[in-house]
Amino acid sequence: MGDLRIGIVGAGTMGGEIAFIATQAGFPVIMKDIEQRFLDAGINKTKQIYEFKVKRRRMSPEEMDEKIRLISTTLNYDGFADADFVIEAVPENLELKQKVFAELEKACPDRAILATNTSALSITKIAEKTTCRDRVVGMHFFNPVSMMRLVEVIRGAETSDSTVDATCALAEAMGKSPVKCADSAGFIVNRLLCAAMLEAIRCESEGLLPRAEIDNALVKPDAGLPIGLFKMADQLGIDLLYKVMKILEDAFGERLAVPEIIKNLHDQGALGVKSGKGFYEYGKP
Amino acid sequence: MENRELVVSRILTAVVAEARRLVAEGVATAEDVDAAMTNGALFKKPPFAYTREIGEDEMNRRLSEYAEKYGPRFNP
Ligand SMILES: NC(=O)c1ccc[n+]([C@@H]2O[C@H](COP(=O)([O-])OP(=O)(O)OC[C@H]3O[C@@H](n4cnc5c(N)ncnc54)[C@H](O)[C@@H]3O)[C@@H](O)[C@H]2O)c1
Repeated sequence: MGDLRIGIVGAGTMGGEIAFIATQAGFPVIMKDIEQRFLDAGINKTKQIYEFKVKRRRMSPEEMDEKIRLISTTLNYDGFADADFVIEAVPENLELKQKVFAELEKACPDRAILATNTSALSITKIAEKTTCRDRVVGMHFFNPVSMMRLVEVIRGAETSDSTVDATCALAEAMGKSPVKCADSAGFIVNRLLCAAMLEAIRCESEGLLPRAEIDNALVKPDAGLPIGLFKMADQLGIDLLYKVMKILEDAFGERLAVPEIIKNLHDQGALGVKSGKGFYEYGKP
Repeated sequence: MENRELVVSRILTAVVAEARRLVAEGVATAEDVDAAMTNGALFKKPPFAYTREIGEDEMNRRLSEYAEKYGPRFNP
């Protein structure tokens, strides 16, 4: 396992974090994005996580440099010809992901496993434009990847057993706890978080409690959430939440339909912490 | 019941109802659902552990009551 070469497509929030856990586990990484400034931002994200460890004296500066040197970058697919395992983390858009997977099939060797970090899109659909569907799998990390132990390993309609096993093994090698699940909208966590979020919104709109008090109640020991749901939505981003909820609505109907308030916030551009306003106000971003 | 308690109960119970459907559909096992909610959402009371905590019978009673009062999303 130690000499696996890992490709990462998309050096954004998730790509930068995944580069951290991969290099921390000792794997060489080749990272691709579409512009140099995005690659720089991704590497910076990885560096920041390492720098935090160095500051806390959990790692020496030399060790950090050694880890960072494991990462190389590209604006095309140079270097993917000897990638063993690719993790795609481009924006949550089916057409874009389908195009990336078709490109990956051409650029990577026949042995390579092609994994997607999609939040809620269908693995089977993402694999549709390839002829190597047995090697396409979902590998859903949680933000911040450096701290969250879960990886949902999602089996598409044609994903092989050996692909699922190799994906679980890689997750474990990177210090994660994989959970296998079927290719069903929202997988496990996002579907259940949305069910919780929708109930919180209903409770507020029925006038039971204002949102800040609902959030406060949820972090008390009798509820045991790490953070209030309205706050969590603002941190995740109302745009991503809207996309996930739309996928759940299409799959499960009224019970998990996008509520009016999410649609309104989304249309107003109140996307949460990053835009200064969502369910709560945050001053200038 | 106080509003605060009711809100917490409704939200956690909504997760239980959806988690039962997810398991019934064969998406994942109950054990894996709890592991996922613990490691991926940092829930201290993932749905099946929460059900054990308050008791299976009490959970079924609650689901029926909520289904009647608030809608079929709580159908057990
Ligand atoms: N942010 C989260 O909390 C989170 C959690 C779990 C999963 N996800 C999923 O991970 C994926 C990425 O999310 P993110 O938050 O990192 O997005 P992001 O916008 O931060 O990063 C996406 C990156 O992909 C790059 N990109 C776009 N087109 C590309 C292409 N053709 N080739 C290579 N790179 C390309 C962009 O330039 C950008 O740097 C999405 O599918 C999202 O649903 C996100």
